[in-house]
Amino acid sequence: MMMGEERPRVDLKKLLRVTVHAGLLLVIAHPLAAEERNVIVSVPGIPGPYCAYGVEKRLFELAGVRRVDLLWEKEQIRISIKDDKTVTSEQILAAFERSEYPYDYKILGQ
Amino acid sequence: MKFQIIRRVLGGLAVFIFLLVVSGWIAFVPWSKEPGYAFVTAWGEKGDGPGQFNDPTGIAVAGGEVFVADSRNGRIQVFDFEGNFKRQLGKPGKGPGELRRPMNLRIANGELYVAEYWNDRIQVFGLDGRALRIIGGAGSGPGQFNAPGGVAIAPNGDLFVADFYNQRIQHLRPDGGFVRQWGTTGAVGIGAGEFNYPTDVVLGPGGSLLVGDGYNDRIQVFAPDGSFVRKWGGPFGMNIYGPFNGWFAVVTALAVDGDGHVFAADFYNHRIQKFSPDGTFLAAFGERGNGPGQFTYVTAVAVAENGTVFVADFGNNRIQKWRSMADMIVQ
Repeated sequence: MMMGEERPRVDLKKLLRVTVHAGLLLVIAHPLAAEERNVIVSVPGIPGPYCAYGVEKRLFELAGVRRVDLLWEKEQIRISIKDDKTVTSEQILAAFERSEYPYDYKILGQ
Repeated sequence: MKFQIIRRVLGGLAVFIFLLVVSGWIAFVPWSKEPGYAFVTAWGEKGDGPGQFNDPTGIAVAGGEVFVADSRNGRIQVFDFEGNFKRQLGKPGKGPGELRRPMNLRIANGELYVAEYWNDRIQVFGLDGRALRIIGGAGSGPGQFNAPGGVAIAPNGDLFVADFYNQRIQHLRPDGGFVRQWGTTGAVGIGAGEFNYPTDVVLGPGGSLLVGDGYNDRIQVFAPDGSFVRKWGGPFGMNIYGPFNGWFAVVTALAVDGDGHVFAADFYNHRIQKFSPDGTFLAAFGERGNGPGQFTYVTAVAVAENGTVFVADFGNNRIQKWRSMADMIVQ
């Protein structure tokens, strides 16, 4: 380091933020974490098997869908996505549309 | 003076509304005409072992045995009338002898007919479990299905299929050859001969065809020549649902006993309703819950020759057995 040259300061906050983000990225990239990728869809009125099976049938037509669980008490459907695949919100909504599901539905998040 | 006029008008209006409600109640809410049914026993719980269920969606009886469509487990389980497990038919899959989301069942001429919702076909088994033949495939053309919900068999072997997403009932020959259909393919309707996701069919006395017109909350009846005979379920049988006697909240299955009485699984009302062959309300049993004699969504019903009624209690993953109180009094 030359005389007069200012020594770079370590921004501890920034370092902490970068570390946390890197850690999160590692967790997300880990195969075990990837297996847990779920999409939750709110489906009021879902209990009927005729509706539920119709929705499931259309969802399973999407290449990336690994598993579909009906969460009765919450009136939600949990869609599990395969590790190496991607399923978009548009694809999920289109599958619901094709199933002619008669009630309101809404993607709540992942 | 002005106050008195307003009071008279309001009084008259109140009387008019009262009379309207009373007359509507008398006209559209029939009362029970039978002693009703008594709970006998229940069996099953959620699981995939013998005697356990994951969505019981169909039921049929023959020769002292109860056949149950265990839908998510992709199999048919067989029990005696006391609920003792006897054997299993089918396994999950798409091939012959395999099942995906079996729904309503029908037994005729010593064979079990299974409507497969996901495989878009009717599969026929021997009662011993042998896979015999497959009728139909996916599609909306003649003889094809889009999620069949139930099937009825004529004495000559002809099939009548509730083709759920195609909004029609198909009449087919035993080999699957198309004869005719009721309803317009893919079009929902509430008029006579139109359907709103039909779930099940059964043949009544004299070859009449009864249709569980699911989301129209009604039953439609057709003569053997195909002509419309009658419909019932709520006011005028035109897609008005409710919890009252003779009303439905989605009909998911039908059964007919030896006297032509019609039993309907009333899904969202958590009960079975019984009618005379002409649609007169006779009795209802069941209420929401998970105790003895309570249901959490009823999917299917079957009646044995001795009048015992078996019910698929969908949400509680069990089968319930009921007897007519009139029969019990006689005994």
